[in-house]
Amino acid sequence: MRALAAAAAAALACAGLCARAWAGDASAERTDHAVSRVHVVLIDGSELQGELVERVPGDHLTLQLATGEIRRLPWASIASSREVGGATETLPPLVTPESTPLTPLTSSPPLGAPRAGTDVIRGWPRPDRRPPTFSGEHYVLGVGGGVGSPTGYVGALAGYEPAPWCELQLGAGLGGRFGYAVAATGRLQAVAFGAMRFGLGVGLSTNYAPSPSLAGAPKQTQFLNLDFNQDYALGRSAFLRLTSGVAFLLNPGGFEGLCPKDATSGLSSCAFVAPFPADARAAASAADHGRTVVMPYFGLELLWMSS
Amino acid sequence: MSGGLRLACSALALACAALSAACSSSATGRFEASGPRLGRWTMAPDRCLSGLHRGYVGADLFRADEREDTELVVVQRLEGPMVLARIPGTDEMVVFRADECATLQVDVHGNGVKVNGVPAVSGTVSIECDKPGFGSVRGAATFTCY
Repeated sequence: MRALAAAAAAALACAGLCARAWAGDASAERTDHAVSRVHVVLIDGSELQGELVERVPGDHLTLQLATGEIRRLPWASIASSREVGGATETLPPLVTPESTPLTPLTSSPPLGAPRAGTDVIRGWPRPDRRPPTFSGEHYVLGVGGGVGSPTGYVGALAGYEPAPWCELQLGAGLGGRFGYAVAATGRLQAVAFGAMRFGLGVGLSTNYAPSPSLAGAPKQTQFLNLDFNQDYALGRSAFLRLTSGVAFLLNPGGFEGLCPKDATSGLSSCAFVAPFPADARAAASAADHGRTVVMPYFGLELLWMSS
Repeated sequence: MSGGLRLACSALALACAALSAACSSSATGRFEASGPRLGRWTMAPDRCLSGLHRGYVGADLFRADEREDTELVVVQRLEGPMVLARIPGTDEMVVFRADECATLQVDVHGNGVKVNGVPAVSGTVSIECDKPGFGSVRGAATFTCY
């Protein structure tokens, strides 16, 4: 029993020493900034030599070449590196972002590593000052399509964004079963990380069908549209929008009494049409039964923004 | 528009604006610099970048305006905080350490958010520093940087 306890104590002590040694290695990895000129061999065989500007293990190495050019090398592209005049060093394996501690570095930080006595760091890269895709005021132009959407199967869209969280949009399209369409929509949106956006849209649309699909149906129909949109930036001047929503028919009265009723049951002959895709028969059926005519819709838009 | 509907629309607009602000890098504050090397400039940062993109704990504060060339970097280290100020028109940053500052209060902490694996930081900085031969910089800012 005593032997077992001794063995356990030894194992614990060993584990403790190993952990300390590992911690020491990790610290050394971050604090090794004494190298000033390094020779780097990339995995494609090319070689570079320059002044070490930044070394972030697992992420990248930044060199200042003799030409003054600052070259940032992804860690994964580096086969080996060595201090000029020193031994070749195989870089440690890629460090996952999760292993990056959010604690102050124990030695000089990278990027010029302000050493004691350093008054000026040279070669500090400028930040990307370009505004994020979803920021500021823009005009928007694009095409859209969908099933049951305000502009119908295919349409053209134009909009104005006084701010990234607000948009006013006009559209015109081929429409769907209710005929050609024009639509106006207002959106309130929330921007996430400058490259995603989601929000709610409220709008009105009018369809015009020269020859309605149901005899006697009005040629013109109006809808109130409510939808949810998700926007995804495609570069800095375009984005993709997905919408899903519902359209409320605002003039259901025009559709009342258009469906012949069964003499015995009193049911409308339009009663059993599929609710989607919606058409005049569905509207007539709903109107006959005193229901609000609500139709779901889905849309996809590709939009470009003015700079 | 009825009063209720107007109130609902206003609340929604505010919520969207607040959400937009909450999910984007932001910085507010103002810095002033002057001196033979730094020149004379003021900067009201409106954007920032988590220093962990470049391997240090801190924040890079600047204006999202391509006509500007001012920048202030806050670095938090165990030895003590440090501030770097760009000399406009150059790739040089002047280093200010605690012994060159009457005030150098830096608080940088993780806010629990990671974007593409890089931890975001939030914090505040308040400085009043002077480096003979280079110039002085003073000001304060609050930031949340992704």
